[in-house]
Amino acid sequence: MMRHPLLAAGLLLLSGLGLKGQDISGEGQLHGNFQIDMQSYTEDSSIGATKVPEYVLMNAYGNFVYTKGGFTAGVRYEAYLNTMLGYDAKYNGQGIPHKFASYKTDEYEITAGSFYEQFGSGLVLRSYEEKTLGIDNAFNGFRIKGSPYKGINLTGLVGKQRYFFDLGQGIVRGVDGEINFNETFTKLSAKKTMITIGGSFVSKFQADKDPVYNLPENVGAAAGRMNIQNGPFAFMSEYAYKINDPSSDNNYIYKDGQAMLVNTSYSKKGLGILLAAKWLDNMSYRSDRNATITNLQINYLPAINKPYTWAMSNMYPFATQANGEFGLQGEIMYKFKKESLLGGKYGTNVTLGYCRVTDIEKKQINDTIAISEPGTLGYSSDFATMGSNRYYEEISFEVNKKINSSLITTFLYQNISYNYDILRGMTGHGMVYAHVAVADVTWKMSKTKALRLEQEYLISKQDHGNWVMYLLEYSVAPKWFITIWDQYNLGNDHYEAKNYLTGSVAFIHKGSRFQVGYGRQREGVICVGGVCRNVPASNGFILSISSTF
Amino acid sequence: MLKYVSFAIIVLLFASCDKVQEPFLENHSQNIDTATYVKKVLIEDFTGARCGNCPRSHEKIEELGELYGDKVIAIAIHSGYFAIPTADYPADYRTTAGNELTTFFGVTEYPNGVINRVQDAGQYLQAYTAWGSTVSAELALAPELGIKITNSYNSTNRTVSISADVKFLTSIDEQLKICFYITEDSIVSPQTDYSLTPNKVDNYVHMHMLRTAVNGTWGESLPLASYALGETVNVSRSYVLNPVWNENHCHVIVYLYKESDNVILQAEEKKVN
Repeated sequence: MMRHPLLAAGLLLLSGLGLKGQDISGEGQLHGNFQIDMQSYTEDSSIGATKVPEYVLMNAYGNFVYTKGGFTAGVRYEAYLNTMLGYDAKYNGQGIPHKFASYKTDEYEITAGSFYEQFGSGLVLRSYEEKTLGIDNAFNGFRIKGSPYKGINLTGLVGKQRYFFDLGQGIVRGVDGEINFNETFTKLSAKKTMITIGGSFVSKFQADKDPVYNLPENVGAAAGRMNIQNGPFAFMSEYAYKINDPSSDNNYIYKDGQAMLVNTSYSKKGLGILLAAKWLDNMSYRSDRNATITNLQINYLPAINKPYTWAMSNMYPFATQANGEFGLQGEIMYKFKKESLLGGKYGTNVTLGYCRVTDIEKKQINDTIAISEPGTLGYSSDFATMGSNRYYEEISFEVNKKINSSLITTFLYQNISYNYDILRGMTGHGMVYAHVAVADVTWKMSKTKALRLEQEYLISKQDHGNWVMYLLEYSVAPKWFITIWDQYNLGNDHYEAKNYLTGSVAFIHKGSRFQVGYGRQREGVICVGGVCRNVPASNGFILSISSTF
Repeated sequence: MLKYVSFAIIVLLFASCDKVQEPFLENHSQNIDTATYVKKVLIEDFTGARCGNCPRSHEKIEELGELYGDKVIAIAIHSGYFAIPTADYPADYRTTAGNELTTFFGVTEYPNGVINRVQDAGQYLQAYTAWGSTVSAELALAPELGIKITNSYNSTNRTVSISADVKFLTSIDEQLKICFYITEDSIVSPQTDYSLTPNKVDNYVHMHMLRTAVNGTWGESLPLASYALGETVNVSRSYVLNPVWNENHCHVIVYLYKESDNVILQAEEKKVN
């Protein structure tokens, strides 16, 4: 483990790479940001919330980045004292898990320490940070990026991945190359069609000490991609292949994995069309074969549905099934022109979306081996086959309409079919069918003052039944946001009616944001890779402070 | 220059793939250990009756038991959300010791386990699929202590008298703590199992269930902070069994761990009666 990456990088800069005397001139600058989230927890038997022995829990971090010429160095201090409910308690504690130094010239860039990286769309490698989800799989090691010729970009990296305040067992090695034909070949530079192709290879190493299985210690994955753009048309595709990688995720089967991703779009003023397809087979890829939930993921398998910010839209969220899924998505956006029949004075935006995700066809290898039996090849599958089990289906229709200079509205209808058992890794719940309707009306009372009313309904005969939500937000731009919302679960034969009322006040001043609130949050259970986590219901005060400098 | 470097890297990387051919399972020849004391390993399995993936960790304990015999000692700790009793799962198997261990190790996902309280990447907790590796690594170590348990059970007052003789097989210069736990086997009550339809198993046989920590969750310190090779210590405790427990299915587990880093040096198990 690198105890002093800053020092190590500094020494390298001065000696080994012969950078001495190169340009790190100019004014040095320090930038950063921090965020503190705290919540108190009180007992509330009506929603099943419990108190915590600490009374108050806190998640906080601060980034400090120093730049001088081509030189950048930074640290992130994080503190989880103790970890807020809903996040992994393995975070408990504090320290500096993220520290790096990098040097950049026109030709190359070298980074020592922690860094984030993505190859192509991420099918074989993507490290990123998403604090609200408790995800941070940053690499800690060395990375070199270079451009030996114009239009050609190469990246090479070796590192271990962040695991809470330490690093995971596995070593990840990766290279990626990309060529932009229009930049590389002068003949093509004036052409309207832009073509980029790229390829990646990633290999992970983890020792095999397992007494039961004979495990591969080096597991490689490769991917190729091509992006074409011609005026309003865009085509993006990536294919990835991974060799035998028995893991907690795939139940220790030795089958190879495959993934295919295709996105096409057409967009011009007032019209946008999007078509996407995704096929995944046994593509979970982590630097520790026993890692679970979101820990130590090397690759990223995107979800194919359209993300919404509405609470009721996220009641039954799709979750990518790395062990196998076939997804299709289509979306049409159209703007009715101003002064037309449907456009009115300001024009009207409408969006029609559809997506469907099913399983893939998995066949038994022979009569004696059950599908996905540990210690076997698991099953056989043919490329791009669609199974008969539906995981998720959604039809959505959205209208954005400005009625007059002070009234802006958004309406959304969604019809969701949600395979609860598959998407939450459980059994016994079956399918959930839900209708979601949202009406969002913003009334601009004056240049700075606005009142926003959000109404959301979720109608379902399954699971917890029907939900109603009202949200009222009064804002005095750019300083004050006062919000109160109520989520009410009407209940059914299995669940009692429950009410989740929350209010908050936010104040923004010169890049800093202060927010205090009080309310209730509902519970949830989610299972990934053979383990389940309960996000408990809670009742308490929240305090959130963030700032950038 | 950069071109050649990147070419070299690519060549190096493509070499790093291990394609494993069948058989995928390791071949084992059981070694019978004839020494007086052998290294044993303690698995603390965090579980719950409503945890649908937890039977997989129970199976893993059984699998390791078949592989290593009585060198593997297990404690099933029912705790957290999935152990909260409901109308369908009325039994409450949570214990004070279990709850304290759950908080200490930071268990938020189930199933989860701790093997001899050794850490990997700064964490005690390991998914059950990783247990095999850690158990085999721990068992490969030479025993530093030997424990001999002698139980005598009085059925009239349901009292078990436990006597543990600890023998030092090497000299140890740091404070050790000794814990006495009681577990119960063969408790039949419902368990959720996501691999079955329906997922509620009414007659599930719960094994290794933690019932109590006789001398507290963290045990007690040995009288001295330093012992030489060959020295012995005796620690004795007695405990009145709860009337609900079946004394014929109860075990006493004794383990010693280092106060400095919590690592368990040795564990032993013996039937109460």
